Amino acid sequence: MKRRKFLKLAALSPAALLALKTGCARTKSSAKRVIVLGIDGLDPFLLRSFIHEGVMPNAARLTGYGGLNRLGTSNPPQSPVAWSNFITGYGPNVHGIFDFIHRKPSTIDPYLSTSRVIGPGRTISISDWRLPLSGAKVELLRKGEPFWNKLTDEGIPVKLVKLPVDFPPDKGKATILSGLGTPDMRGSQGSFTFFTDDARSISNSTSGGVVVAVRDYGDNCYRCSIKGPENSMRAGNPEMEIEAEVRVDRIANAARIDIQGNSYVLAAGEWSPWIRMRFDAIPHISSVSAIGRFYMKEITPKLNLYLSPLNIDPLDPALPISTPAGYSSDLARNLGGFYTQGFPEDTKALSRGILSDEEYLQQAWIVLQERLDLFHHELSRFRDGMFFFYFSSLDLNIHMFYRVLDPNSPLYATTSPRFKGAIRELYMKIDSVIGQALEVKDANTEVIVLSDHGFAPFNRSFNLNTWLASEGYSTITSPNQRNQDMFAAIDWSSTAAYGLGINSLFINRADREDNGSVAPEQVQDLLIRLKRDLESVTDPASGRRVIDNAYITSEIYPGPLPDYAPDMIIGYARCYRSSWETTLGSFPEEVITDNLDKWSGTHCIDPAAVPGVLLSTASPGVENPNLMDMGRSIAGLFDIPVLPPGGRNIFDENGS
Amino acid sequence: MQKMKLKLDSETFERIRKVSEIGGYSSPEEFVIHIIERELDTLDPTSGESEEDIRRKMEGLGYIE
Amino acid sequence: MVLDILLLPFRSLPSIWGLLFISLLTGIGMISIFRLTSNQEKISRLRKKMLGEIFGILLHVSSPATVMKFAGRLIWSNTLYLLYIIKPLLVIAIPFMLIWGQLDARYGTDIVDQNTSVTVTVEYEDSLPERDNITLIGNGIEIIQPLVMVDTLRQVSFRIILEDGTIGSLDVNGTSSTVGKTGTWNGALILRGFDTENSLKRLFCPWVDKGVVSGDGPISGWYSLKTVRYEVLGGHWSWLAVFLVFSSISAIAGAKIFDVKV
Repeated sequence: MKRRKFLKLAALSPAALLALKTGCARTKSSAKRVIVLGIDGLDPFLLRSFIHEGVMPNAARLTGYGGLNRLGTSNPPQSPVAWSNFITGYGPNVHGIFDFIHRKPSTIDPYLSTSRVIGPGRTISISDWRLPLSGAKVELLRKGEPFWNKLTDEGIPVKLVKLPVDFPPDKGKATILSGLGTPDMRGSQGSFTFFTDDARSISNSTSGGVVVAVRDYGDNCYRCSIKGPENSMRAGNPEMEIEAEVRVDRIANAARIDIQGNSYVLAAGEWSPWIRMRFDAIPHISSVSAIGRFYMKEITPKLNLYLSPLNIDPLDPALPISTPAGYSSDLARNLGGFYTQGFPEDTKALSRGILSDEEYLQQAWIVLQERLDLFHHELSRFRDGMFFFYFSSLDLNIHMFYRVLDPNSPLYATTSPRFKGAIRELYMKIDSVIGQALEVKDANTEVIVLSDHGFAPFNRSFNLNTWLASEGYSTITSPNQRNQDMFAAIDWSSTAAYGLGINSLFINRADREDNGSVAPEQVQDLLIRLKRDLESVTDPASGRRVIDNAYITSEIYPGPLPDYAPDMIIGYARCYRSSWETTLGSFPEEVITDNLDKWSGTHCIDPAAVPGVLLSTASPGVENPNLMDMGRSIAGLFDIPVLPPGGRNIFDENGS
Repeated sequence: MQKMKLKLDSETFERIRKVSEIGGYSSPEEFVIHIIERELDTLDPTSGESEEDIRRKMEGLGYIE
Repeated sequence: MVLDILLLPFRSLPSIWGLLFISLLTGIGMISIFRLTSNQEKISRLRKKMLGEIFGILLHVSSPATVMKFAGRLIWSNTLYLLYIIKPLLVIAIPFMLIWGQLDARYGTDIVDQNTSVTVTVEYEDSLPERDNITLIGNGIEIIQPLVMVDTLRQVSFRIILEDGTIGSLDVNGTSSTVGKTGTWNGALILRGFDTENSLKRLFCPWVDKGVVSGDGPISGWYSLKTVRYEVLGGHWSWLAVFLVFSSISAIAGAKIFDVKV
């Protein structure tokens, strides 16, 4: 910084502080304000029933303005697709997100659809050190222009907190903290570590995290190695590691965790605060910061210690999680550490039995409490413009606890009915958030509550790939490899179609896939036949249809499509979803099986079955509002000359 | 933003105009930019990432096993 | 005490302002002490001589013998220079170490928020007493059970919460000490532990409280506090980095302004 500029800044500071103070004293503003609450997975049917029960008075109040509207979701109704529809006002044919999982068309390698990391271009090698000449880059794969650019172009302030499908955050003029899609420090969507000396807990599964065997050599001390991100400055990119010493006192049923010079006492059953950890890439020169929380599950007779996924430290972020870059550290300074990863509720730890139902809910409440604090903090500072805030809690917790709502769930009988109260309580918390927003509403403020999709039970799993094989659309040559993922069992030369991702089906095209077998001119006929066959599949256990609609992608999204786009989007019927095995290309024996995972609710089915919700103080004037309309509609509440091009303005009777 | 002029014969331009309309794009320019970005991705969809990196990025996603 | 008075105007501002002020002041202070304790005339003459010797080398590059002669003189001048500045540096070192300790105690760690617990570890000289014989009394602090006994290290750990978020006192089996912000009349110094031995250490490490012994209590103890980082020019700096960079800047500026020969 130039000296003069620095001096100017220094001189300005007291004036700036004073101005800030004056601003804080102002409680009502004459400027237009729009508060948008994005509640992932808020379901219109559950909402209606809780309103009737009388436990959501604020939501009821809000329906008094503009009714309880169903909001059309995306096809497929997966959060990254749906929120991209919201952000851009267009469908996947424009923003390019068709599923959580995309694949490289030639080799069929799957990858996460929303972002990618491009490593440093050139490096200098000295011994086994690698010094990068250019930094690594993270790239958002969502295309299309966010609707709020039309607001910021006119100088209207825009703030979006925990915005989904925006990692790394958009570099425009809006203030953004990225949400869904933000990785943890190991680059995954959330990878816990579980330290244990209990042989029963040790498994080879790496889904969602790692189980690390530790041992007490008689000194009541366990040395736990915590693996951090990869060190791109060393040959072979080894993972950086730090050590935590866990000194247990079995009589007190408590332990002291010593980590990088600090100590934390935890009794069995307690969660630690956020603990900052520094991983050295080059000692004393380059290091990255991460935060994690321990949960002392058990000390005696066995040690069972859970460590949350290492989150990007909002105070000192290793990857860009906010625009401007300092926004996340401002929040952390005011509020302390918070979950920065996109999927903060550790559903995998629950599915794998690392955390029990109660323990998972404790963790989920920690997440929600952090979000509430963050919301409160930002709402109290909101003066004018648009303020969007996203809550993940309903979505992930209902994914995990739908089993208590639906008596037909295979896990209904084994789940304690008291968790039904937990869902009600979550809805009530969201109601209190709506209440806070309504409290600050004045004549110039509109409050909009919307969700990306609703919910349905996931009781039965459809093994799409097994079905394709049984109907002759693909050929299994190595039956002993049926359960291996990535199509290890398949003979590509006689395979016409395959399923990958959650709702996606692909034709094995000769002009696209490396081992493609279907000539381009046969594709359309094949798709028509597949559509007919899929839509007539019934569940032998109940005789019910499994798939409501098999959509031929080119018919619902006209115009050119990218070659990673699925050829068909499967709209499952209520209660059904693609099986866990289908998503990564394996072939279990049976076509339809019970879903025994605690992940028991879904929305990845036919979009007509899982609409979202729209509650608003501004009354919608058109029929069937859709997520794609919302950007244009929100922008239309402000006095600006040009509205975003996608969707309709639902608050205008003509929908213009 | 960098600017680049592109010369197209009128037939191609007319096709672009038509297809962008059908596809719901706000302008032929938006359509062209989108197609170019997509092609760049297609040519190099996962550069800089190993298969292991890609797998790890999906780890922890509740929707898949 | 002096620091407390100097920092008085900065009490209501974020602590980085006080730190920046002290850093800039220290730079000026150092350069002034250097000026007073060094022989400015000698240094000035020597610097001119050294410049001449460097030019001598550059002008006679083609004559190795002359270059060697000038290089020899230059080495001798350098040695003299070191001798000239050793006295002022020694004089500066003492206040520097005192300031270092005071600043570290003020800006190095942060007292944790009210309602958030801090882990305290106390260490015994010989062996640990029986669990039931450990008595903990807190004044202004809440003590949270359980006690974690670490026999191998002769340590006991437990958590406390400072009730008013600033100061309290803790008594473990008769060894008592202060916890929180104290040390000075405006309470800006953050204690990180206590030591029952009489030592000079506390002069340079003012964050260690003098523990008072009246029984078989522990001989020392420490509190697990968060290290503070300051946001300066877009980076996250430790207090020491802020101090070194800004005191150097002001020392260089001071040398220029007051024409101090360094």
